[in-house]
Amino acid sequence: VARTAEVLEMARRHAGLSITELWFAYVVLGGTGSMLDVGDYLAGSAVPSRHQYDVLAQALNDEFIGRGGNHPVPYADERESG
Amino acid sequence: VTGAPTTTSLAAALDTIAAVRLEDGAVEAVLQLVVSLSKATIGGVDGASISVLRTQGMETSNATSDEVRDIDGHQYATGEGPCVTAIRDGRLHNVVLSAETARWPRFVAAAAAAGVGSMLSIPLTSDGRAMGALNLYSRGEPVLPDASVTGAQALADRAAVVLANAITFATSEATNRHLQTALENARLIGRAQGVLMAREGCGSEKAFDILRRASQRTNRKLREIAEEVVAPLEPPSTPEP
Repeated sequence: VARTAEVLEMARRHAGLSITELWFAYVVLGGTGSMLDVGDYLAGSAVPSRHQYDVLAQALNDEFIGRGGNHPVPYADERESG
Repeated sequence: VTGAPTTTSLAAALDTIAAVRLEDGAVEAVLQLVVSLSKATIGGVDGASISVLRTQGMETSNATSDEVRDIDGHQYATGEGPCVTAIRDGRLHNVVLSAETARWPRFVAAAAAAGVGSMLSIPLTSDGRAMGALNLYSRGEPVLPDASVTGAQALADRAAVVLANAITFATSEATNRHLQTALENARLIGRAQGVLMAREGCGSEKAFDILRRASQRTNRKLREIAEEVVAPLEPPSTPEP
């Protein structure tokens, strides 16, 4: 649980996105959590479903792709297998 | 030469500003009018400028001469002087520069070399936040009299309103463009998910999974993958010859 939050929060900081900006990108991709939910996921006080986690990971990865990165944030299935 | 502006000349100046309509390029024109009028209608003023606070720092948006721009530049570079101080503390500074060597050593030296004796900087504020400053330069030594300060404040008030409107407008324009793009992207991704759901007989989460795996495989943003999914179904944008 703590690691899920850590992965997302570290990536968010690295991407230089505010929680609002990340939430906005996540909603555009079809994420259905509120901004407070996303704040909770990042703080570790709530756990996203696999799908909501993947949408957040995609929002972050899209941001990194724009800067020359290649999907540094693992998806749920990668985290389970790795 | 030094003297208070007559009430009539200032009133006429303010009427001139009020008559300018805020269309494209008008903000620039009004701010230029404010610096020109400051110099022309306020006694003892030899040069005027407007400094604006931008994300990357302060800059002179309008000035009555290049010399004035240069002196402003010394303030931004050193972080010293009435202008940068007025923007920082949100207060008016009406000073004889030779009396401020202890506070602003580098700027006072540069200003003296340029022949500036005194300076008035009035912050341009909106909702208690300084957006910039109106700067009046004088070759003379005495500070500007109260009547001149009052006149300058009236011009600064006009400039502040125009500047605040321009900032609000620019911000809302950018926000609107941003929201418009986001909305189009959200629709596009939703459409692509719908196409995949119909094609694969799956739910929306599985459809998202297909999109994000393609994004990962090709290292492209999910939006680009969604574009490709819906592209074959879109009518061609230009008719075939």
